[in-house]
Amino acid sequence: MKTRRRPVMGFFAGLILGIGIALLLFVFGIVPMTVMWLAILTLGCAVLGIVLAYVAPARRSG
Amino acid sequence: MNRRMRIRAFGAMAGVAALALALPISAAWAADATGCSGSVVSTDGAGNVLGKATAPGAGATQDDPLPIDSAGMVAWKGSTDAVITDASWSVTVMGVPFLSGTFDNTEGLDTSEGVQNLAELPSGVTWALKGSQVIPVSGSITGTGGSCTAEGYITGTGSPTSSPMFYAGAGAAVVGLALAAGVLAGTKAAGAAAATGAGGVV
Repeated sequence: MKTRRRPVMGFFAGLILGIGIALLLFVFGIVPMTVMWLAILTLGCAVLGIVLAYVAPARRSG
Repeated sequence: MNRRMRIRAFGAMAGVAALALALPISAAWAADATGCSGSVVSTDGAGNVLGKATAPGAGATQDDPLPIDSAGMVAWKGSTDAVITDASWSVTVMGVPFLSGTFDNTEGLDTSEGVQNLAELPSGVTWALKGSQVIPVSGSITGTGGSCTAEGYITGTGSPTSSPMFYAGAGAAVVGLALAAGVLAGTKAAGAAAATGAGGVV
């Protein structure tokens, strides 16, 4: 059974969310403000966004 | 590069990069230094001392970063273990190369000091210094006669919630969450997708 999924949208959702989380962690001094941490958080969330798109339960409508 | 500029440039790391941007270099000395030594005092806009650090010595570490007020001053002084001539210098901020250059130090100087008015720095620097962020800085000098490396941590001042970075982060997080909700809402069984003419992976 085929399901319509949104991995590209999931990627960008994770990417933007990761940037937001990184900036908040930086500004509160929770992690050092480095490019390495920015990359880890941003790309990590982007991957999670893709994973979310593939594991999200399919909805039925109409 | 004129003589005055050469002298000041030499001061950064033990003088060299501090000239180009006294803020990170001074802090870098304070935490750790090899081939050079120095000290730095940070003050706010009213002239009150915010923090001090020396290298070798205490201060400007990740656990105890040197507070920097974007409206204040940073007074620094330092020396190299040997006279370094015909050298190249570089400054790294957040792990990324930020500034670099060369100097010849024909005067044979091995000490330097100065005061950097932080209000004169670009607006992007002052923007980054509001909040509690811990920013790693480092620098190096390599030339004839020796070399110097230094690294340390600085932090901003003021409430994190007053920082533009806080609002940018919160805004991005909200947008990201909204898109994630769209991913969940857009995941539909084939029957529903076919009914709308859509299908497959998007």
